[in-house]
Amino acid sequence: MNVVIFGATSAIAQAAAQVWAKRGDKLLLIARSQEKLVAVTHDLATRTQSNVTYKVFDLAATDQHDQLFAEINQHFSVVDRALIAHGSLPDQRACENDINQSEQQWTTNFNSPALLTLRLLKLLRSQEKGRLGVITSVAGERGRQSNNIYGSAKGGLSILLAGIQHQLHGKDVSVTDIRPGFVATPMTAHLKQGFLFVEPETIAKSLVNAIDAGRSVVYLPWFWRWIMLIIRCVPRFLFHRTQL
Amino acid sequence: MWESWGRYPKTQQSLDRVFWQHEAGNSFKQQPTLAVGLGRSYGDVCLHDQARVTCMSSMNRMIAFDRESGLLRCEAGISLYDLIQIALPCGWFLPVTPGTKFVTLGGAVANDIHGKNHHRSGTFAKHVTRFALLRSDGTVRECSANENAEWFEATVGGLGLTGIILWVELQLKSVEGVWINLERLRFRNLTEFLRLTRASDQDFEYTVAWIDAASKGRKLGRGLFMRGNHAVDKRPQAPFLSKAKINIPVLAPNLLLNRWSIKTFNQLYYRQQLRQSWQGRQNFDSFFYPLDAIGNWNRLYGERGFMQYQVVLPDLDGIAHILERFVSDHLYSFLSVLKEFGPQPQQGLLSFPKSGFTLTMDIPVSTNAFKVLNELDDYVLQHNGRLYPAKDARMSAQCFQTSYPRWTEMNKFLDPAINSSFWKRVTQEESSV
Ligand SMILES: Cc1cc2nc3c(=O)[nH]c(=O)nc-3n(C[C@H](O)[C@H](O)[C@H](O)COP(=O)(O)OP(=O)(O)OC[C@H]3O[C@@H](n4cnc5c(N)ncnc54)[C@H](O)[C@@H]3O)c2cc1C
Ligand SMILES: NC(=O)c1ccc[n+]([C@@H]2O[C@H](COP(=O)([O-])OP(=O)(O)OC[C@H]3O[C@@H](n4cnc5c(N)ncnc54)[C@H](OP(=O)(O)O)[C@@H]3O)[C@@H](O)[C@H]2O)c1
Repeated sequence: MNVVIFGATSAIAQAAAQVWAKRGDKLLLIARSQEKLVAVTHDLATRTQSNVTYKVFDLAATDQHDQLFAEINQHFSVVDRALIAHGSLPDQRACENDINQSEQQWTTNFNSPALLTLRLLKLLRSQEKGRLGVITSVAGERGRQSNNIYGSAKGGLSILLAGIQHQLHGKDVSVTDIRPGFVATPMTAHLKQGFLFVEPETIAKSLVNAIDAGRSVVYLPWFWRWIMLIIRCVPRFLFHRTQL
Repeated sequence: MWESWGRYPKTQQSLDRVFWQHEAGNSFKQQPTLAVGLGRSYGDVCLHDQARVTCMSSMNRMIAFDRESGLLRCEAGISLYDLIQIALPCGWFLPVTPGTKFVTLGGAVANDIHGKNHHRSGTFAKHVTRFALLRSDGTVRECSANENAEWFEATVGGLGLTGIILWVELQLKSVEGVWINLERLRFRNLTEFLRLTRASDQDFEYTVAWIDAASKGRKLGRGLFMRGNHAVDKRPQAPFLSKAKINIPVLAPNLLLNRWSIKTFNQLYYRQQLRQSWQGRQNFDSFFYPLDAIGNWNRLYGERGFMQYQVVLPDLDGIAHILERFVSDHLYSFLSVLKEFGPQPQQGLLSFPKSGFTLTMDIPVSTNAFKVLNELDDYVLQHNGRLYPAKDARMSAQCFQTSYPRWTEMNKFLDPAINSSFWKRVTQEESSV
């Protein structure tokens, strides 16, 4: 199978890429850092001897996405699986003080993945098959004082995906909303790592399986589904007293 | 929270992680630090009290692997667990392996570890063909036996003090499969042990003995001798590697491992084999890494933590003396291991192994233990022995400096932005020699 990964140098994406490469799939990795892409490509190719190629691209440059897709089309005649993984966890207070930063964050965390999703959707529909996974976050499920610039982008993305899933009902094209909880990656390295943190390798298999199965929403690890159910149910007057 | 395997000494340090080689230099921004792997060292070589450690285990990518020649290059944070999973299905195995697979390549180099095949294959560094060392001034040195050879010698077994190891190139060993042909033989005392180990050196790649450290008098130094070779087995088989079958989730009460439970365990272990000898096959995972089946087994020692006393002495009289002292002073070791090292040349300035016998004992932390071990240190020094830094949490500066006379040669290679609790302990106290 042919797999395209956007934000392929993300720790979660690397772990997923290993699962795909191990089963012999061909990979096209897209991310913005050449150094990181070289390291990841060597790693995957060395471990699995599978066919891995990379392309350096700043995914926030949404005005150049059409060029990117032209190159993807050249590389793969068919795209069987795609994963959109890039994102960035901003400093909430800095974003509040500097509105430009908020805009940049929304570009990285909403505009860019949302526009890629629309383009991929077109592509998969024209092939009449294919599966897409988009990494959102449990942080998108309820607005919080501490993290709402990031949360709103992820939440908006989830709503877009839900709408697309509605459209795709009954087709052989699917879009999966992947919602991780706490994963130990560069993005969270500055946080205190409590017991809820898991390694990217722990969730990679379930991530790939969920995309294969065309599931609508998957929580990683699974227990976040129940944690979020509770968090969504807490009445507002109580929720607003928390530090969450 | 960062701690060493013995969970002693208790220290406080902040931790940062390196994910990419080109970002490793950032760790030097808030000086000083210490690169660490998976914290499988028992004492304080991987600790840095009131300062920082830089954890390398997330920088764990493969760089190149020639499946024909077995030459492998990986980032230093990769674990041996990961490495075996890739290499073994292609017919390659670690040239030297410790008793756990949850150590990093960088950690294996920095402690210049040894295994059950020391008499044949020497230490880990002997199989390291090349590595890259990042210094806090930003320079990266590639080191091998020929290139920057003096840096090579200072860094293997160099306890992380010369810089951050970025990647390591290693020559793997060709094996036929996942099985070990194993023989287990009972011996009644150290004289019998000596006979067995000398008779086995030639024909067996792996030799090691388990000692019943709870017995004294006529039974002193009895145990089970294990010797094995890789089985010649053409059946290809993917390695089955267990993360852990059981996991110890919380600290056990301090008294779980006490004099009586340890004594009983040791007696039962010796008696498990009634016959004089046993022959069979064992999967490499249970042969090399039996303790890995129980995740976090170090928590069994409870809050106080434990220490490992690993010593090398030129002859078995010394080993007998230590065993005697342990029983007479009521120090009981849960697991005690004896092995004869070969006459291999020392790889690093501070590498531990040298010709003789090495005894390893686990001891719960107690005041009595400190008193006895300090006295034993004097004996070890007088008899030309030394202790393994990877296992140590307490030897005096004098003990270290006397038994590792080349330690002053390290000065030239120490990175000014790196230090460790161990190094402070063994160098900052004035030596009386
Ligand atoms: C059950 C068990 C069995 C064992 N059996 C054996 C055995 O048979 N033989 C043996 O020799 N040892 C044995 N050990 C000890 C273990 O092999 C060593 O302590 C090993 O070095 C631990 O590796 P680590 O990755 O956990 O490193 P750590 O313990 O985290 O660090 C060890 C040292 O390596 C340095 N270091 C780590 N990474 C880097 C890097 N990238 N750059 C520079 N310095 C670095 C650290 O500064 C430190 O000095 C055993 C340990 C356990 C728990
Ligand atoms: N870690 C968690 O706890 C957690 C929880 C919920 C959701 N998530 C989501 O999971 C996804 C993966 O994150 P991660 O945890 O694996 O963290 P990560 O390793 O830091 O990955 C984030 C990746 O996004 C890339 N990126 C950011 N902006 C980009 C751009 N403009 N163009 C190209 N690439 C860009 C980064 O590239 P550079 O390295 O080049 O900057 C990096 O590779 C993200 O969408 C994140 O929001 C993570």
